[in-house]
Amino acid sequence: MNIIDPGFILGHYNYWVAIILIMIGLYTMIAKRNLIKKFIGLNIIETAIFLFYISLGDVTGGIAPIFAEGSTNPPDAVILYANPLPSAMMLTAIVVTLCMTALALSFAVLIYRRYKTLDARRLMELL
Amino acid sequence: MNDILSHLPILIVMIPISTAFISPLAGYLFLGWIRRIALLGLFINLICSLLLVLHITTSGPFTYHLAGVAPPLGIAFYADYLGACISVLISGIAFISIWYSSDSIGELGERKSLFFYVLLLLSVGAMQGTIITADLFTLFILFEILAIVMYGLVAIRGDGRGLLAGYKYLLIGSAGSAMILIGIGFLYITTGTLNMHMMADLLVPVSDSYTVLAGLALLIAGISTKIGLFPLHIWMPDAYAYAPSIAPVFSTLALKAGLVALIRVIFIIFGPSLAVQTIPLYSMLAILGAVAIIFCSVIAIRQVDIRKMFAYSTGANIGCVVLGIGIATEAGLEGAILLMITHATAKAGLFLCADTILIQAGIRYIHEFRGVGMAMPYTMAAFAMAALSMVGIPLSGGFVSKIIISSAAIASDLLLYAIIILFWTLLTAVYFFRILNSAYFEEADRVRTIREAPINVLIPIYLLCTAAILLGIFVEVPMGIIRPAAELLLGGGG
Repeated sequence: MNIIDPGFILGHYNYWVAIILIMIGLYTMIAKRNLIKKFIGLNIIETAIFLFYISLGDVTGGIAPIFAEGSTNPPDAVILYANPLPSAMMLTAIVVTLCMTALALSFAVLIYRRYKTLDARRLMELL
Repeated sequence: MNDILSHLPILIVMIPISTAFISPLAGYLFLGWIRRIALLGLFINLICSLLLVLHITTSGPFTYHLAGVAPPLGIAFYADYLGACISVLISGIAFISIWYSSDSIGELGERKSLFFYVLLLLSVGAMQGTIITADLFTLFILFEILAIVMYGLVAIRGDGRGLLAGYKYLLIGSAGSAMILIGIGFLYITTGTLNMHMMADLLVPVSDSYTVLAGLALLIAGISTKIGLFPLHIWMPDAYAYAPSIAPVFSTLALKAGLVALIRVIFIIFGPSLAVQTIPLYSMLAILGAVAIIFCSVIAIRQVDIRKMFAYSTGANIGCVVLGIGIATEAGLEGAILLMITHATAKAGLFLCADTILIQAGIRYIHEFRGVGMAMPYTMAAFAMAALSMVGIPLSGGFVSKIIISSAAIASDLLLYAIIILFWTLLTAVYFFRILNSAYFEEADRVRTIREAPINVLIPIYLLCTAAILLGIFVEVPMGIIRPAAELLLGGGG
């Protein structure tokens, strides 16, 4: 599999988007001086990870993996299901990220109340 | 009885967490009861950990399936020698620190001290889970619970510096978690499982693929952020310095839980031979550890704040544990696990002594220690015992673990690392004897009225500080479980 093959690149475009988003997020975390912007960079990384995981679970032509009793599908039919595990993992990871965002924003509010600035360089000199 | 014993892996995780959720209610209803409830919960937890050790030493390591669903579908906990022995360490030190905490939490006020105990209990539960889980995604979730609790503990005082240190820790820690999550994704896409043991088997035929190597690199980098390995240690000094009261003790324990996760990822998932064949993982870890030892020790000598000095000393110790892991022989791993135990005990004792001295005398900078040895003889004696163990004076716990790691380095023809460990002992002696010297041999510059700490504070301090020394004399007690742990891990995780 040639990595510069256009078909390979286009066929995996969601993974490329995830990688580009992670790079944008890392750049934002490193280069921006505002504490909230730094955290937005982290949120971009987390969103890219969600995209990456959900791409992992997708199967071309797969349907939602629900198997109900009395289902109309005949039991021996070949049905493609999407992998539910990455989506389930990401539901948990979204909750974790939400907790972290809430905590970071509350820290930022308290820091701003005390120092009247969110500039990381000036704040880290005070530490 | 056997039924209860087989459920111990989940009990040691859930007892602290359920205590954490019950205690605020009880704390609101009966003021001042929260500490007793926390103590009770941690005492039961300690007994469960000890039972787990007994159970494992008699009938061997076992896998526990959550809700009775076996691994391809369910989540497994793996209770092995390493997990059980660090579990006793964590619950024991947490119990003693909360026993100590009665006076030192007063500065937080009644309402915040309620939350403080809740966070401490949650952190203990998350640590116990981190060291015992055999499922990578559960490991990530428990790491996150632990990290969020730690951010809260650092900033709970709500003053400016605590918040800034907490925010710094949060940014670096969350970047580390993101790396762990991507790494888990890479390994999951290759193997289709999250269970560590199944993953290890499935990785054997594909161990040289770039996806697996990238997953390994991301996992190691992410966990290194959590344990503060040398280039990623920058959150540690501030977090230690501005966290209130006994929170740094729990931070030290959290680092130990992260180290156990690192050992599991390296030895269980990737197996001793597998990772070595493709990339020089072990020599990388050993080099990073050696650099961490020298760098952190030199910085520690320059510190004036005693808590920052402790933080850099912890950084050096983490480096030495990673160096022991990097030597990757049975003796090296044994030394690393023993150093985790002796360091956690001695450092917890030092933190409690420093906290007592801060409360009784208002001292937190090293140049203020003049004459404290005369004013607070019992506390300073305990401090000196723990400090001697940190330095590695013969017969102390630190000495035995350092000598095991250096002889393992010599046995693997890595003489340089043995020399670095000897040099590190000298550097540690410099920064600890500086304090002991000014406490015992310099006159106080002004007349101070410092009272000795009360007896109920001294008992937990002495428990930890004498344990730090006794671990060296009765080293066969921990070694009885460390030896099979190292053997099992190097034999491919069992």
